[in-house]
Amino acid sequence: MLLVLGIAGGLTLVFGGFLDMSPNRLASGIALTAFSLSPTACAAIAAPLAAFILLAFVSNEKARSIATLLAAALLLYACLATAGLLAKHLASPDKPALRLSLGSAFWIPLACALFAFLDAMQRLQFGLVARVGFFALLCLPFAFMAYVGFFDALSLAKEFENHQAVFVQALVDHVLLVVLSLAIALLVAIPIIFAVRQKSGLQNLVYASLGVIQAVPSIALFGLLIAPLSALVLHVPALAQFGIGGTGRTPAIIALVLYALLPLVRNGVTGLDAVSPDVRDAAKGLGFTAGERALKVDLPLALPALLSGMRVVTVQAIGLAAVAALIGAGGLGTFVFQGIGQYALNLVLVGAIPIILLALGTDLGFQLLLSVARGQA
Amino acid sequence: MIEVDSVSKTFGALKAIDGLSLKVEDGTFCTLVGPSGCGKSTLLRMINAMIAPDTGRISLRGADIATLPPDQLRRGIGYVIQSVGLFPHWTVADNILTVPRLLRWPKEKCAKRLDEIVALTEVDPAWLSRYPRQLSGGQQQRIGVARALAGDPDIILMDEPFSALDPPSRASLQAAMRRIHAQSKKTIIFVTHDIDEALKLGTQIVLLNKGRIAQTGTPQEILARPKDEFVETFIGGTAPRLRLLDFEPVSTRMRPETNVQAPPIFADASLKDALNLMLSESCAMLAVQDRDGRRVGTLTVADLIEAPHGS
Repeated sequence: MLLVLGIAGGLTLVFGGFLDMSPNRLASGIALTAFSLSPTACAAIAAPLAAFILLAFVSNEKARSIATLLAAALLLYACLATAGLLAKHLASPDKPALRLSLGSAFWIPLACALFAFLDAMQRLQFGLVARVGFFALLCLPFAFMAYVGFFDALSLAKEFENHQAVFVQALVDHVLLVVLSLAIALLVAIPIIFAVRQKSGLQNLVYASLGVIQAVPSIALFGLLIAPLSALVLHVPALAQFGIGGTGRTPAIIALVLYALLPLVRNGVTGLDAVSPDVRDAAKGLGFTAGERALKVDLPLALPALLSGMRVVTVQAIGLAAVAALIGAGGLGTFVFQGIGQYALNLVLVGAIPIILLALGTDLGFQLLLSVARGQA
Repeated sequence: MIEVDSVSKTFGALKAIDGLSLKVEDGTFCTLVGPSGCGKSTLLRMINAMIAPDTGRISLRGADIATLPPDQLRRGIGYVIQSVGLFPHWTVADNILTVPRLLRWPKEKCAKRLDEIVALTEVDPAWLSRYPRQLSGGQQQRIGVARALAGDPDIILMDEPFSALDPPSRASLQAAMRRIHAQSKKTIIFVTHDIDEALKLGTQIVLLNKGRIAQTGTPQEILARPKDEFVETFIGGTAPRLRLLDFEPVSTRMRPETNVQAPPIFADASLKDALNLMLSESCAMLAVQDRDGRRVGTLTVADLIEAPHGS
């Protein structure tokens, strides 16, 4: 594993472009390798990669894993520092349109560092909290560097700066889209879950129809919702006052809810099926009302399964919400599609990187919740 | 008093309970015993309205249970089942306090009750903060019993509570139930398929067969005068005549002679203990003493074998 990471990182460092320099935002640039820019910087990145290759031959697993963590941290910050410094060095005030984009020799070693982290933490059997804490610690200097403008010369930072005003709004829109649809999906799913459990005949019907929805591609579903919603608003104009229309948030939320239903219902039913009938019998015999049984026994015991359903659904919704930008729902996807439209890769990244971070963060958050819920059940 | 009046219940083609009537006085330890499928669990589960009778009525203290809200009825009746059914997501303390919390007792009353129950059921206080899966089967059922008693119900229903336990755990919990019954004078309805357990625990035995009562009475009555062939066969394996010796103290059979030398036995010991002592000492005679060590009489093998007049 380490050997592969070290070699892959090393090869891209030597042959790949570290920075892409182009005269303006739209023209295609020339790739500059790290070595051609600064041999010192290149050595700083190469050293931890070489360490990976050497560490692959260390047999003591614990020592190797700890050393790997250190080497990976060095690699991460060597990449970041080099990127910031070199970009500053290349940029000049008399050429404001000059664009400096990060190339493969930056991204691939960065990815190598992340893989090495994950692998070493797995081997050291870090708990969930330790993992989160470690990554937070790792990100802290980066956040500080970004704050003081260390990366400002990079065009990624420039794109971000240019769109800063709308960025916060887009982020809020994106999160709101996901949270709203998840809340609505839960409200719809819970009665369906109880109905399916009451009448076993319903199960196949519900699973089959929700399965069909899952099979519809997201763009198609967004598109399909435009016509009926537009027709609805045409007949009931009052709805338009609430912001309901054929495009925008309404169809996006409906589509996200529809996609969320199958995983939620299936996990909910599985969770409830796993509640032991003896526990239910005892609860009934001790005098729980039907409502108390659902709330105090069934729900908490089915919670781990339901939460893992919500984890899948939320991460999925964060990605799907990006596509919803196509029908005018707003969110971070807007930058992605604008970027594609303008052939401005760095603008795509302004949308894509927060979406990825959002998804990863949510996933970790749900893992934490799950481990708490599992600890009790 | 629990009154069951001409109750019948049919499941499909099976007549589980067939026109059954029964009275259980307050403070009785009533064991329902019989072969599997005799309807004993069904009868038990009808008392807390888990199963509704097809015909007939069941009343507690004169009130027809069909007229009471089932949840409130059940909160006033302890319930222990074979599979225990502790809530896996709650600690032992939370499990024990299930019913007090359903009844919305104030916090201090709950805390006080928890202490009482822990003492009464001999629960190790170290378990209270643990989760049920961290306890053995016997420990879990002890918590099951504690949970049933926590709301201070007058009646406790127990459905084969100890059948799945290893013999030491079972014996320990049986002893605990006898003690709890003696201390609290609660009415206990206890279902078992084990006639030995029924005779050991019950003050009233109800022997069921095919949804009807084959015989009911004290253990002595059942052992001494089995009503029919079914009862005789059912209690046959327990050596009923030997078993009867368990229920009678030495003082009822001894003769007043006090000058014969023999191994000593207390007057309030059971006849079974006396027979056991004779067998182990290889003698046919015992010197009976009271608890102060005063010689009060003599017991011979002949006294053991021949019951006195009128018994």
